Amino acid sequence: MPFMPFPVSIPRRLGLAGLIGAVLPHGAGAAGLPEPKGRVILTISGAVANTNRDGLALFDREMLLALGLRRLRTSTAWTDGVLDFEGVLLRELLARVGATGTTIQAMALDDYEARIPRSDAERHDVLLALRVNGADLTPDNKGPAWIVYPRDSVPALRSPLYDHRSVWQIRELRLL
Amino acid sequence: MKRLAAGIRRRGGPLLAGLAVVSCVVFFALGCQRLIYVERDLQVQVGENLVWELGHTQIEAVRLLDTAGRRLAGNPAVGPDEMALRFNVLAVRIGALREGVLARRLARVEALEAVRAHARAILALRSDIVALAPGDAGTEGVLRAAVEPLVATLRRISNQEMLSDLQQITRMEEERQRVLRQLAFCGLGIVASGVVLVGFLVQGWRAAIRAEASLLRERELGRLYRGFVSVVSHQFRTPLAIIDSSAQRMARRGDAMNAEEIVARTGRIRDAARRLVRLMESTLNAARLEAGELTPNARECDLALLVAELCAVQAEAEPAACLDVKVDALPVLRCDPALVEQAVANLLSNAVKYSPPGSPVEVRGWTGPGGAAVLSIRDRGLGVPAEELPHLFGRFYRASNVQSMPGTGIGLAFARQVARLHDGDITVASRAGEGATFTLRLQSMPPAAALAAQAA
Repeated sequence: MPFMPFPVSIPRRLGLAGLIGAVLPHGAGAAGLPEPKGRVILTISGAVANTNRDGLALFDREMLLALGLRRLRTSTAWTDGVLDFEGVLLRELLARVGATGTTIQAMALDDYEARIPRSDAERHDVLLALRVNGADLTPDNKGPAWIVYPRDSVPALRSPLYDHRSVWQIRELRLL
Repeated sequence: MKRLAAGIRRRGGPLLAGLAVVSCVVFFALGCQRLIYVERDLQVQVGENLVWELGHTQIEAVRLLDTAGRRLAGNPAVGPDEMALRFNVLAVRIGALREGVLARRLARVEALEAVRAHARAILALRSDIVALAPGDAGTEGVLRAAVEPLVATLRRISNQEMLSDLQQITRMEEERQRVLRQLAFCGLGIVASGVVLVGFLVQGWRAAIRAEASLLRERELGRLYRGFVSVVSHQFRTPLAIIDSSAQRMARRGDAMNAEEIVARTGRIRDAARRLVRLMESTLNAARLEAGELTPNARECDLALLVAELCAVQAEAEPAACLDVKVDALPVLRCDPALVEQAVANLLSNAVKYSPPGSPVEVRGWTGPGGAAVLSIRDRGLGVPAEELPHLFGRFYRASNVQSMPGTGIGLAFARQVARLHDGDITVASRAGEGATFTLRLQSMPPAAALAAQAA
């Protein structure tokens, strides 16, 4: 999987983005993406087709949980031991908002920014983690959302380059 | 010096070649080991990331203090949410310093415990900080007292780290240059070993070629000798027959033979004996000539006389042969009489051998341009097929139409060799069934001294 860049990623990307763009007329985005009811914890901006307010895709926690949680057991450079993450697959999240950009600019609460090639999310099961070891990620513990790479199962991801794309306290994803 | 080198080659050759192989391998292994070393060295990460992390943690700590200051002053833009955000950001930063790769880096510079103690003090203040009310200078003071030591510690560590990074970079740079020099040395070693090995290869190759050539020459010489013996034995038979018949006649006539006849008979026997000696000499000479061991023995020689004598001997040996000899115009030439005689005898006996009995053989001699002797021997015999003419003078080559007759294929090759030795050549014109004309051309040989110089 890590060394097969296209077979899975391209059709899925084109399929969902194209499908949503074609089937849902402009302005009907709200139908595809509901208004957030609780506190907004994640904003997806930039090149996204499926928005719910002012060209932005806003998510509260419930909306993210509704995408379906995936598990990822992995270590990270920033922690000790193996952690049991739960969260949304980044590529599914991007597909949900009809993202068309090729680069994700991840912005954190502390204004840290990292550019993540979208191919990372397509090739690997990169997680937007919301929970760790059975508990919600809180703002004082790298929450509310943390981008986590499957670095234990993919040796190529064990490098400082990916460690620094593993942004915590995600506030906004901007598609470029 | 050359002899010494040759000695080393002969005795120490295999040893030296083995050494070259071993040193090639050793240099290669050394080079690889050095490369791996550099590779490992590169993997040791310089601490700039740690410095960056420490810097950002300081910034967040100061931002928290700043925000607390503004909250204390009653700034309406700063509420509990803002305080919580700034606290959380710092908490995560501090948390990242307490575990994972950063904790390991801090432990290495023995700063981990200090940072953890500061972190505990700050994190314990969480609820107080979030609930900080404007004008609550006491809580703000407690916060400041907890955060400022952290900032000071981080600053100290990052300074140290930055300096030690610089040192490490410098060290790595020097190390890399050293390794580069070692690699260059290993490369030179490999090249040198390779050159030695190639030298041995080339030498072995040349020796093999030499051995093959000498083997080939050896074989050819063997064949040559065998062929030669059979050619010459044929020629030996002629004088022997003369001696035998004369002796027989003398034995039969006994006393009835008068003195005059005895003189004539013994004269013939002595001629034949002389001829045998000459034949033997020329045989040996020819063999030595083939082997390259002979320096032609050049002297003034009346070729007209020599050829006429050969023709007479041939006529006596083969009474059926009809020789028409006109060779008075041949010059006196500086040549090797023994070799020339052998060559001409070969041509004459060929002409007779390959002609039907009684058919004429024309022998003509004259002086060609530049004083060269030209001898042409024409027979009306079997001739040579046109397509075989180019090969006729090759050693052991025998024309297809004479395969059934005795012969060795050496006579013409020898004749040509003799001709070339005299700066001349031998040519043939022939058609199958119509006879052949062999033309031998000889030049005067230079004096012995000049010849020796030429050979050298």
